[in-house]
Amino acid sequence: MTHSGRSADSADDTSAHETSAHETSAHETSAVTPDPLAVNHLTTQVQGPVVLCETPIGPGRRIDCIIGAAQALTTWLRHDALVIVAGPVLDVWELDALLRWCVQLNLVGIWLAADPTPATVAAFRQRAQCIVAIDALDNDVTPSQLASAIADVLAAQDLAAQDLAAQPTERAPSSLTSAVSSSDACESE
Amino acid sequence: MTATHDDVAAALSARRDSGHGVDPRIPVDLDAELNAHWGRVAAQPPSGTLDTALGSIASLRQWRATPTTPATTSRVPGASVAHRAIGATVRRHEQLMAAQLDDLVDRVSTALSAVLAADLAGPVHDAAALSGRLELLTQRVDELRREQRS
Repeated sequence: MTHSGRSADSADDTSAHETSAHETSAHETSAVTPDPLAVNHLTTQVQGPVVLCETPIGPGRRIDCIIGAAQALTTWLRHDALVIVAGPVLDVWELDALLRWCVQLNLVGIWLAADPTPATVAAFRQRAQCIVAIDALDNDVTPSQLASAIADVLAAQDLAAQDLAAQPTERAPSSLTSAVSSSDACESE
Repeated sequence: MTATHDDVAAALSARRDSGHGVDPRIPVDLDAELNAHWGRVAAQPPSGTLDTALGSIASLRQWRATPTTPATTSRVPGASVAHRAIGATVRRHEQLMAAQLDDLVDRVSTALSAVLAADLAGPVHDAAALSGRLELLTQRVDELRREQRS
């Protein structure tokens, strides 16, 4: 599904350059201090999990698939999730169409970050619970399937986090018991 | 801990292998509806952008330079003849400049129409090149204005 009236060739011509630039920026961003404004927003305004998809925004990039997955994810599976799509804009009309679609879907659980700074991307990565590489997916993956898989991954992460949170509480009684027993021993002496 | 794309891909394949590719809480026809909806949105022209550009070109085509009328009379006895001569010269000069400005406006509007017709929505670097050309045209208009004032 590509935007009508635009040349797919022009996007293909720039794709190699844009992809390499994107990868380069990914390496550069790892050493960048996260943008404090974005960090503050993601910390204070976003309660649920964050799914990050870094991709150039242009025709043929299947961003409609990730937006559809965001719609399915936030409407039926994880109401508190936020899906971030971040990347350089290759086609302003594609971005315009994607933004209009998000408005028509009344999709609030998505952040279309066009041409983000490396510091903003660093903040996204710092906060992300799940990374999705839309260009690495099979072409036949549907938005519903992607949303289901993301929900599974987030659920597994929640379970792992619960286990981690439960471990100190399990140790607490034993340490408390040992502390009590040691104090008992002191008293008996 | 951040789940990588490999985790998502593994979850996708696990769902496929189990025969439950889609979570049952998601409506069965959602993908078809989303696909059709996106197709409609993508087929629409950009919101406001094209209309705004066409409106700007239409207003540009209607613009015409209005030469002023210099004074051709004088209260100084015997100077009216010189005033009329100078005024006629200035008026001819202004009319010439106005005609050049009108021609420039026509050329700019024609160029913008051609750019729109040739699909303005190219890559970003094309928009930058277009912006550069428009800047040159603006500088040329400023030069003409300065020439007119001097």
